[in-house]
Amino acid sequence: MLFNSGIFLFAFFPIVFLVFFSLDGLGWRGLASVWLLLASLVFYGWDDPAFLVPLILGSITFNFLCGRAISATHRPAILALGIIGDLGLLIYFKYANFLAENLAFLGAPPLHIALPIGISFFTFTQIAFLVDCYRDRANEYNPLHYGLFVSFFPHLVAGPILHHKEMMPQFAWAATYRINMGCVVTGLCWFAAGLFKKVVLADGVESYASAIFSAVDKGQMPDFGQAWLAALAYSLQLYFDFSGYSDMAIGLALMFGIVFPVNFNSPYKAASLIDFWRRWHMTLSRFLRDYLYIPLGGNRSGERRRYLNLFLTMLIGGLWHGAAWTFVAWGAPFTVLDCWSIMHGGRPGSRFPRFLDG
Amino acid sequence: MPFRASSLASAVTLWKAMLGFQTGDPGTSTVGWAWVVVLCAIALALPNTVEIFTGRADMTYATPPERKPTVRWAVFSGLAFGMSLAAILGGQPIAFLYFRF
Repeated sequence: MLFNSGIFLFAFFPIVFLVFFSLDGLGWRGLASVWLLLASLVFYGWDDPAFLVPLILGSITFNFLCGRAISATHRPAILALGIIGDLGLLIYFKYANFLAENLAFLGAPPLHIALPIGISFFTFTQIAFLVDCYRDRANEYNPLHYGLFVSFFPHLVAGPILHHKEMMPQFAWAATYRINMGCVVTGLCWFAAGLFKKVVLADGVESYASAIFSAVDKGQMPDFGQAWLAALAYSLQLYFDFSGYSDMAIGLALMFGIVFPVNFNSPYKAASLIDFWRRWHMTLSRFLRDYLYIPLGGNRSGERRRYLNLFLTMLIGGLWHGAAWTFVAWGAPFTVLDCWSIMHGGRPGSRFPRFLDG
Repeated sequence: MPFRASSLASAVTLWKAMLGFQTGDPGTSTVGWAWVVVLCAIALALPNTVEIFTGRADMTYATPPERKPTVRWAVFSGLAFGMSLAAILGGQPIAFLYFRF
């Protein structure tokens, strides 16, 4: 289900919202949580319930049980099992087609595996939970709150990538279940701003980018102006599309009294390439820093190791976006430029352009 | 460019054209360029929603917004919502780009 669809705006959201706060008004707070969880499953499974609902319920159950077992025993084997299970699911659905295409010369048959929506987001969210269970940093194990933390519909399909420590306590607070008109009005305004960015601005410029990309796919040659128009129009479409989604997610959650972290902070105003990545998809950058770059050693093990860690982090960040050689072609120059800008960043006499300095 | 192109070959074709190494059929859309200019101005000159609704530039960690809703917010949000509804009712909803990630 799309936030920008009539069924969401005029049926799903109003019903979920009214029933949620009515249940608390009747003194059935536990039922309000269950209602929100069920509504989130309906939202996620809207297009293909027989496939999507068992998938996410299976993933939630598997990770919750792994988390409990890890907390109780602190056995690294269980942590490894959980992470392999999560990554195995992600690799199967997201990368199997790509691998089969590239192994076709060995006789590998083509695969046609459909990508479940949001799988990259709920996989990363849950890997963070498992790692924190192992580190003794997870301190709440209510299965209902865990299910809501993973499946809460405003963030489920395109982020932000949430952290259990900032989300699960919010589902336990009594204040969350009482209607707060300040939060509702602010959330509504925030949602309206996001909706405008998506359906008026991003979708408005979309046709100018798509027309040129489609023409190139059909073998037509663009001229200088058309190529630049395609590049700039798509950059702006992506910006307002993702910014709009993030605003809508924050606004929807706020109407339920839940506060999401900011995911998008005017990245095109960034003063450098490093600054750009601190502003674009901020919760993905936070996840990669805390659960990949720092565990790999970060910048604590010498310069060479630092660049290797950065390279691996950027590579995985790039591949997270999709399995195609175009994403490698997109990510590789960024990785090199990031390493270079860190190498020269802020140092007097840097020979690199200022806009790339960190 | 490669983030959107359907293949590496398409991306390379567009890169070559952007660098002026290729001549094609001229026919750039004036309306398209007008969109680009307006959206660039919005992205670069206006405050973002976090600054507007929280009064703070940094909201890295989840904290409730401190600002109270104002009449000006209501008016702008009402206009934004009305224009969005008109756009939604005028065509099929387009899926978010990040859904494919």
